Amino acid sequence: MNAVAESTPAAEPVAGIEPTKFHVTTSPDGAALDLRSFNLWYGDVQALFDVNMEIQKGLVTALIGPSGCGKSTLLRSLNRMNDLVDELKVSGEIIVNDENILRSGIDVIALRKRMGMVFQKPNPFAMSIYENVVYPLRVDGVSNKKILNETCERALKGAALWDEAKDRLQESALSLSGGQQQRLCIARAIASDPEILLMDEPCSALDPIATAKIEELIDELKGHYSIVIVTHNMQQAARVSDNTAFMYLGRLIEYGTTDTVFTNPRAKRTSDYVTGRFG
Amino acid sequence: MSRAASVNRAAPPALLLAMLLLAPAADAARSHPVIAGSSTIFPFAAAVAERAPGPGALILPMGSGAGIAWFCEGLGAQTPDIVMASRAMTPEEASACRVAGASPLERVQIGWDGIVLAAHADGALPGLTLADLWRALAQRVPDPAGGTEWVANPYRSWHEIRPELPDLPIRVLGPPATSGTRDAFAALAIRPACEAALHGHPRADGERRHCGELRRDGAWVDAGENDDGLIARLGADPASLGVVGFGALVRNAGRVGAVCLDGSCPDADTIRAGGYPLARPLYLYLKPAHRAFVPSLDAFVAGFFAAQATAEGGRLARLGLVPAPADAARQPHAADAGAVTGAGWRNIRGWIAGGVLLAVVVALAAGMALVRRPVPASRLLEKAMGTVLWSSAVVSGALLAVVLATLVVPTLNFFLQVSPVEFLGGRHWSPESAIRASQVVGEGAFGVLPVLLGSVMVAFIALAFALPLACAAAVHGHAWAGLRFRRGWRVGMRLAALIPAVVYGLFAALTAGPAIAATAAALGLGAAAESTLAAGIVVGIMLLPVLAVRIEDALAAIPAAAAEAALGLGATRWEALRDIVLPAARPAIGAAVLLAVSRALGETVVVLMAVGLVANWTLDPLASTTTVTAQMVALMSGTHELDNVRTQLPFVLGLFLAIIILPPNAWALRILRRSNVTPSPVY
Repeated sequence: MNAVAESTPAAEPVAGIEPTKFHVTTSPDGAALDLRSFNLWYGDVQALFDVNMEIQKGLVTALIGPSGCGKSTLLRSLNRMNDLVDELKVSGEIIVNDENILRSGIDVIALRKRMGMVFQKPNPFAMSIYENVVYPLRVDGVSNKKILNETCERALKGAALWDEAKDRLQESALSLSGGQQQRLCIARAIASDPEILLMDEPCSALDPIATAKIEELIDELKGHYSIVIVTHNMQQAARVSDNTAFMYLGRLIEYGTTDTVFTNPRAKRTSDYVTGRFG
Repeated sequence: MSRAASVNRAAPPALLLAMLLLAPAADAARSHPVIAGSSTIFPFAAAVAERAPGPGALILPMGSGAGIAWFCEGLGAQTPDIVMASRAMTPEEASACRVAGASPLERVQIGWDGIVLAAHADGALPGLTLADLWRALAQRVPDPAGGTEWVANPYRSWHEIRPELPDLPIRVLGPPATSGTRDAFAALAIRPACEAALHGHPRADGERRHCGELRRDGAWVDAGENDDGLIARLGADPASLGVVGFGALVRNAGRVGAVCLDGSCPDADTIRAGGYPLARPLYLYLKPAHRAFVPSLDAFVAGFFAAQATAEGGRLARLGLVPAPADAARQPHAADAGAVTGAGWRNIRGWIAGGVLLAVVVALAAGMALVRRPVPASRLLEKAMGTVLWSSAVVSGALLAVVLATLVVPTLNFFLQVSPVEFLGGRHWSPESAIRASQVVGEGAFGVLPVLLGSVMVAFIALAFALPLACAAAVHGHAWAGLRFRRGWRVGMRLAALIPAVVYGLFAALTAGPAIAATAAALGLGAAAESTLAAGIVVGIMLLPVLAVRIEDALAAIPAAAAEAALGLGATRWEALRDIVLPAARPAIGAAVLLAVSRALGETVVVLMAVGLVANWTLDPLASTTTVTAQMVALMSGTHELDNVRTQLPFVLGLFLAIIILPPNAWALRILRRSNVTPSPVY
């Protein structure tokens, strides 16, 4: 289900770039996520090599790179969705709030509740719009109608769907258009008020108008949430993100302010990719 | 409590099944009597078994010869305890018994049977002599033109044999060569006159070995093992005579009469007193050693002598048994020394069958190889293939129509005799006694409800047992198991689904049934060894792998994205399954369940081995029960004549079963079509 890196790592070492010393736009609140020497294997195949990066609180971080570079894998490691993959091995640390979430004793369910996730294809449940949005609360055992109603309204407003959906909350979520469905998924992801939003190519199944709306929404959500977004769309990365990470064959090649990565990258491979010479 | 499966010796698969049923049994594995042999005695034995105390008896009518052969295979639970014989054992048979270690035996004479020449009630034939019969039916007779030569029987009319006899064609219906009645008829009616005629005859040495041979030119007709069926044919052909047992004459009094022989007419007195020339004793041979594990053996035999059954008007007497006095009947039977019969022909037959089978396999393999060879495509080939495929489709459709017609025609005939209201509404099921066709209808012995209840209860228990387990196993395999466990589990379940049903049947009959009965007994409950519960659980075990695989397929067919969305929101695996995956998979799971229901209803082999044959109108899962399918097999006995309700019944039940299985199947297919889930390739 994930892009898996080739078994051979990038042939040439990336000379001259000390991984921890990337120059990024920093947040006054510090790092939301801190990856230290993170490695990941599917069985015997290593998919991520020694990833070191700090993801800044309240900012939007874009992960870019050609297909199979490991960016989705990296994203799914952040809330341990990869646990579902058979024969997965990891090493290194991912620090959230001074805690290494790769530790075996961690409460994965609680972790996932702190991180909303939005997938490539809109995947609303076959329930009403209302039930979709409050599902995270239902899972938590919340049954107070008032809280549920308030949450529903707040989340739908937060996802810019309230005006379109408020009169049809009890209709099936599947009756919404594709773009609306994706905004519903975002509403659902922010309903439990997470700290971090993980977005895996959230616009790749949407038309340009729906895409524009989502991008607008990301802009609004930033500040309140730390957002990590995987995208294939270079313009999108340039438009919505503060920092951009370029990955290639399972390695983090370059990580910096979006402006730098797109206009003056340090690695030649990055500049080849962002200017469309390969990938 | 009788368990009277009927197995015809003309149906080897059924006999094989019966033997398989007993084959691996240890001595302690059964306690019910198993009785095989003469179909003349079968109605009497079935009647006795109905009233016998203790576990129900398994009674298999297959003819005296076949019964004795099986009986004499040795001692142990896999051989019958009693063989019904409408003649004494031959020295060869006794010797085979002795060689196999089945001796010593006890022989009990339960009574006499008269072999009767039945004629249509309005028949015009007066009494005959045995000499008349010989001339009419022997394969070879003295040349009527004179001289010492014997010739193939030239007589066409009774009038040619003796001028006083009417000018009616000679046509005698009788049992086939494998029947004890036929042997006895030849020995008692034909051979003595033949021997007498050959006495002092110059050609005696050459001709004597043909004595007792019956005509093969059509004047003698092999009409099947079922006396009542034979009598029904006489009704359609008043000029014919029929060779039947005295019992059949009694049962069909009014429809047919008997031809008197040598001035003596057959009735209970002349038969018992020996005045009627074609009287013969009826025997049971039993193995004293089997008393060790069949405690009810003697009680069963005693049933043949119960005063109220053998008295005039008693149950056995009404069936036509001329009873023997109990004290004179029993004697140990010394197995006589004699030549051991060769088994050469049986071996040769086996080789031929094996050769044919091998040839078929080779031909199929060659065909496959040819088909797989790449052939350059051409319009002609394309067209030829189209034609072949089209005709295959037409043929399969036509076959289906033929199958349906096979069921429909006897069913219509059945309902001309038994009202549908009685069949569908009656609560009393006793089809074995339907040998007395006309009488039983009035007693309402064809109420299908208890049988249907048995089927439904077995299916219900099976599902109640299998569904939760299958669901849990599938959910575990789907969501929790590690990769290696999951792979092993899937392979294991698919292999388990391929285990032939007959294996589960053996498990039911030999392990599960007794175990459940023992458990119930330990809890102070009485449970039949062939309880509904045992049958249901074993059918459930059989359904389990198929069901688990199908449910797992149904879960796997739900896109991972749905479950991921829930997991990404912090749902646990169980919550994601419960809220998202299971609801989405519900149609396919429902279809799997419905298919399992129809399979449980239609399951034959397992229930045949696990349930009894007595229909009980009860919801008690510990009582013995029967099912539609088990009844069908049990009723597929002997003759294939479709002239009485008993032989039509399997067809009626077949159609009935097809009809009740239709709705769940159709519903399941509809669900599957709607939800676009491909059925798994398990079946």
